[in-house]
Amino acid sequence: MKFSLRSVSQRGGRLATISELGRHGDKTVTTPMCLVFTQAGTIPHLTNDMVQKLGKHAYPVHLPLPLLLESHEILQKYSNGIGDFLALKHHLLYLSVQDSTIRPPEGFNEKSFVSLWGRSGRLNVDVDKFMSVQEAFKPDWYQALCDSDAGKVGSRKRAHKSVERTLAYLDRCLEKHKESEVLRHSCIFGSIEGGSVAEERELSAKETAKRPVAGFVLEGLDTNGPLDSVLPLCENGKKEIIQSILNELPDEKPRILHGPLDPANILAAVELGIDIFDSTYAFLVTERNAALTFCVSPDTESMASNVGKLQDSCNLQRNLYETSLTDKIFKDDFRPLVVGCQCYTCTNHTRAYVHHLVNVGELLGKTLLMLHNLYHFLRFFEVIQLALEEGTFEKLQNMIATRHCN
Amino acid sequence: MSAPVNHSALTLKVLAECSVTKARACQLSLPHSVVDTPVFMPVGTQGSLKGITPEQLENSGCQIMLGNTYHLGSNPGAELFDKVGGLHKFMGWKRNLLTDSGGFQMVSLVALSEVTEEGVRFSNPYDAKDMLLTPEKSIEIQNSIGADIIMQLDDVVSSTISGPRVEEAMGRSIRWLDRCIEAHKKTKTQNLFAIIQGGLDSRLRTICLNEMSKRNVPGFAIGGLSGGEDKNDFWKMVTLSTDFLPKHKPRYLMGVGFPVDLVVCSALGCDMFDCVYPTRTARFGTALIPTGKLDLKKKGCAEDFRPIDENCSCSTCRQFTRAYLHTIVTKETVASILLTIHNIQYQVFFCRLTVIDTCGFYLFLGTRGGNINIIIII
Repeated sequence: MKFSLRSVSQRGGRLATISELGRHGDKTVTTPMCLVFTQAGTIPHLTNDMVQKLGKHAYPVHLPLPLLLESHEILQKYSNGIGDFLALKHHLLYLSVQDSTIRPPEGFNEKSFVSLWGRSGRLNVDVDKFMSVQEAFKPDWYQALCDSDAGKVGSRKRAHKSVERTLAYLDRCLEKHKESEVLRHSCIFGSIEGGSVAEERELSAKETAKRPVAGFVLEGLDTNGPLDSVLPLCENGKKEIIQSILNELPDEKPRILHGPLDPANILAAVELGIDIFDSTYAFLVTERNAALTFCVSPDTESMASNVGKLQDSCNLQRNLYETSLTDKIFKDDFRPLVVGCQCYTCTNHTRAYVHHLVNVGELLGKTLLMLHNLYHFLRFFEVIQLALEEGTFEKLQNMIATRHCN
Repeated sequence: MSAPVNHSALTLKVLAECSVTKARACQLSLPHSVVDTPVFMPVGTQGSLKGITPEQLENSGCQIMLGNTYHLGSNPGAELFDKVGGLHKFMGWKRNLLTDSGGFQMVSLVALSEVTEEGVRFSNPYDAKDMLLTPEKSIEIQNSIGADIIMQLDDVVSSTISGPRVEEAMGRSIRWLDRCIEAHKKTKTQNLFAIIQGGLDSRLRTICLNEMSKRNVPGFAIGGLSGGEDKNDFWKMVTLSTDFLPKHKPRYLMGVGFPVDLVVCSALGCDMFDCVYPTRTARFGTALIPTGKLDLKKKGCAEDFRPIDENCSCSTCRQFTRAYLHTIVTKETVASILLTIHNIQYQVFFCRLTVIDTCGFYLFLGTRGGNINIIIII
């Protein structure tokens, strides 16, 4: 793959093009971008024909390893790789170590292995097993095995361990990667660890940057789910940690930050210099029967602004990026979820119908919400790129802050 | 009886008839689209077919599907349908819909239901209020929902019951049919079907057939069967009914949906079928195949890299292996959707393949029907 930085704005936000992607090296994406999150190999609630309706921005797919680990032997026998197995072979496939919608319990990683939680419980994965999985799966991109457990906040010892172990895993992975014929066209990403300890973070970043990796994943920043546990990046000195990490990383390689970050957090991270995110936020909002309704462009009329007046009268606590479809006021509202939205759900169905479906527990409700939420979220990234191109990024941040933040 | 009304909401064209059995292939023209019969109708109880979009349903070949009046009458309710202009508009389904009367669900799902000449009295589970579903009320709700075919409210008794209750129910169903006909406001856009009752008693069935066919309804359903009765009694009642019912009107056999039953009952002259079986079994991880059923949860599927059915052209079989489906079945919602798409397409085409020309159907029974040994008493 080829990463070309097109511009870096004054405040740090980067625009880039990643080309020569995929099996045939013929695909291109632009960043900042969003990976489409999957669960056990499926985009939640969406069959592939529905995913097609999201357009080209649904190209990069995020496969967290934990729920796929049990398919290791099957994939070895199958031999055509996981893209083929999941009928996603025309997509860019990125395999991450952990699932960013949950926070794995602390204290289960050891020197020679990392714990992953699959369907039937804890699985211990060492480098040999890990690389065997990569060879069976044949992803386009994969995150090298890493220890993201930094222990209690401020604990230097455990933070140091996470850095040391992760570098050791990375070196072993790189060795095996080099020897592997099968992984010749795959790209390996290194992870930056170190918890909340500044010196450990710097060490991790400096050392990882020395290795021949294709890009970096910033781990252990407490950005994992569930939704309400992700704090704003400007709290607890996180912004400063991210800044210190990025200072040590080369400009010409992409940086990934996982986790269900809300729009304000995404913008803050973009401003610092992060290029790639995942769609776990859109997924988790769907799981609570809500639609993303924050303003993504001046053309679309946010549903939240429509019902703004009703919010007080309904006396409901409401997050202003999303609107819950369980609300009875939508029972006979025959407008689309977001007026002006061009997604399949908004062009074919109404708030009333989606409300009915979630009200009676019909699966189609989740399908229609997931489709809209992904479309809306991917559109947000389009808008971010546009804002960076036009120099209106600050304006975008202000709009999101004033219209949607408490 | 009133003079025959021109029911322009439905026309049935018999395209071919089997020379050996009573099977026939027809084209049923309904307000929203044409339906090829014999037809299997999947059940979308609450205004949606378990995760399938209307577009996916169209692509699977489905031309007509069911909605349940009891559920829809409660959520979102008749008033909402009046506001939006019917269920077609509400769910975005362009082809045909059929609604039942609400009576069957009432009796089977709701405790404390009591049937009187007036209607069915029950305690609404949503708000514990006492409610009465009369023939008039059922038709009113069905008129609001706006399905292309609507069903009379009938007095349903289990086929395993015998004695005077069966005759009472049969007689009452006739009287309720008349009340439904009277109450039906939208004869130009909605077709009201009568439902033949009479349990497993030939004498009672014949009386019912006699009486109901005097009423000028666009179609007939054979009801009160498929409730656990002995198969030998079941076939007898079906064939008795189709012998009697007019050839130029469609025959709908309610609640029938296992593949064997579809084949046999098509041979006995039925045109329309409905059943929750294919969609329900999909959600439990079972796919329908020519040799019967495939349980994707079984270990044997774990390393099976074939599709569910090599001859199936549905989107599931074109993309995925049994091995893949095994990893997600009953665990991810997409598995449920993929199997439902397959089972609906399978069942709909299975039914359509019972096409018929002079010898075709008889041969069909021998080959695709699998190992069926039955003697059909015609």
